[in-house]
Amino acid sequence: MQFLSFQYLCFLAVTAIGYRVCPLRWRSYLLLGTSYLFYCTWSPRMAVVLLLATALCYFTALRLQALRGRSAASALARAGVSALILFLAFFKLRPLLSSSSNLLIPLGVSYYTFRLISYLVDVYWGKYNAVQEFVPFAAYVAFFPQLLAGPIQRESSFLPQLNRQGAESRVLEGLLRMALGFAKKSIVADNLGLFVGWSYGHLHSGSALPSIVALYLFPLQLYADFSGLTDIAIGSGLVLGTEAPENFDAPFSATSITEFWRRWHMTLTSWLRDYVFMPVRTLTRDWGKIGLALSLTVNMLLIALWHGFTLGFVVYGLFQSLFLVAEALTVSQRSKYRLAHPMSEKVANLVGPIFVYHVIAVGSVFFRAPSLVSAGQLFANLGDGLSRLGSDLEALVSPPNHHAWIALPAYALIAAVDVHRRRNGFRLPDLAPRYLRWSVYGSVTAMWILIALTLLGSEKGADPFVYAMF
Amino acid sequence: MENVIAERLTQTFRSTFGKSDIQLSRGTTAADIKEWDSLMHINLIVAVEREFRVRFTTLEVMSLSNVGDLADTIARKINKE
Repeated sequence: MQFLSFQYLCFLAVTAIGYRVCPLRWRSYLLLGTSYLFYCTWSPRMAVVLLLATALCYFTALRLQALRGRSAASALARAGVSALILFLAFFKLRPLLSSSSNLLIPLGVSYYTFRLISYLVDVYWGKYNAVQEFVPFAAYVAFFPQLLAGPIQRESSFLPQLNRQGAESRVLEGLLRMALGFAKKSIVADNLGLFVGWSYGHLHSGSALPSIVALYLFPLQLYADFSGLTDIAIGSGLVLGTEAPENFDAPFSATSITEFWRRWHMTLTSWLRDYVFMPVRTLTRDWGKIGLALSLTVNMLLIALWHGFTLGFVVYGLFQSLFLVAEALTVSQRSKYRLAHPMSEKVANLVGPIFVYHVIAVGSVFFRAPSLVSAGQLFANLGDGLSRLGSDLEALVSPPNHHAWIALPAYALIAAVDVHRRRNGFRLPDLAPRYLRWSVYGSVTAMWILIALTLLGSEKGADPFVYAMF
Repeated sequence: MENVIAERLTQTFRSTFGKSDIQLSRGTTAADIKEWDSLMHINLIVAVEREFRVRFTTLEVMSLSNVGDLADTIARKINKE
């Protein structure tokens, strides 16, 4: 079952009604049942794999808690985390080691494995106690809105919500958030994808235009695609009555690469900070700047390799870590310079986002390009000039791309709505008059009827989400 | 927090973060000090280790939730020696 489908909307609506009418103590059973039903529409066999991994971690955590303070706890934690890493690596590496193209990879395997690892580690570190009941824990691991591509929510922020009343007030917010996600994906990302796809197909044309389009538009496509997917996931949770952590915080407004990675895929980067960077940095704290550079590079390489074990992703990770290391090693010098030259702060705020966008755009070529040769071709073509600009542009916007330009004004509009959402949320003011309240309800209902009819009548459906494959 | 540990800890925080107005309580966390990010956290741990002449294990560092935990771990290590 796809997020962008009429079936998903019906499934979510029925689950949300069930969630509200069933007693509090049955909620986790309902979520567990519906999440596994959702999973079984992809692969019942892989649902069994998910259940086994969940059960293994549940019992390991209980044992870890019983052993806390003893040396056996350390051995058990290492064994548990190693088993999960091997489990994830097996599914991630299998396509590389096998020639078969029909290999099944468990849906959302990265996301639920990360949830399980952090849970085990938190129990071992003594930050949280092990969950005593299996059903709420299994419902947390398999929670269907977050199964496909996160956000990676920690168990400590999810489980208490299952016993909370007052979920009704978030439905409007959730529906608006989901609509924003649908718009990002189907109007912006898929249309930008047409331009980017055309550009990668025309890198041999002897003109710089395909390279320029691919270089500058792919980061926007990726952002609209992934943040749209996150909006649908967070919105679905709100419709049910659960809150999830944010995954993006206006990443292209960042003034440094370090800040960018604090604003992009935030639940993954904070997960890696807590469970990879901090332990590695603690172990290497006596190694001075080399320890810092090593910790940052390991962290960034893992972020890159998580997307796939290819040479392109290795270059992607190393390229980003160059900037992260340079920024980390010059923190105090830059801070002193800013204090001595107050104007430099204003200049950095203006120039920083432009610099960051260019670095991210160059790095993203290694993310999107099918091979390093293709990436090299893209950069080499930038020097080809724009002598045939008129005919190139004509080719770029010819069918099936002739309506794709709508993505650019739509992106500007959606970005403005997103700024409003971050500042004020999608909530109606408490004292909003009744006529305003009902006109909003009416508009949102009409909008959703339209979206549902569009999805029902869509033969092709939307393109798959880029991040759903990780 | 024991007074002596609290006092030395406050001084260490002030010199690490370069802010003379830092006031600590047992419940103080990274969220309360703007400069206290993941990079500065390790600088702080190294500074605390130097100040109190102790050595934390990775598990001890990762288990810390707030300043109270840090003070308790320091006290435990000093008393052991």
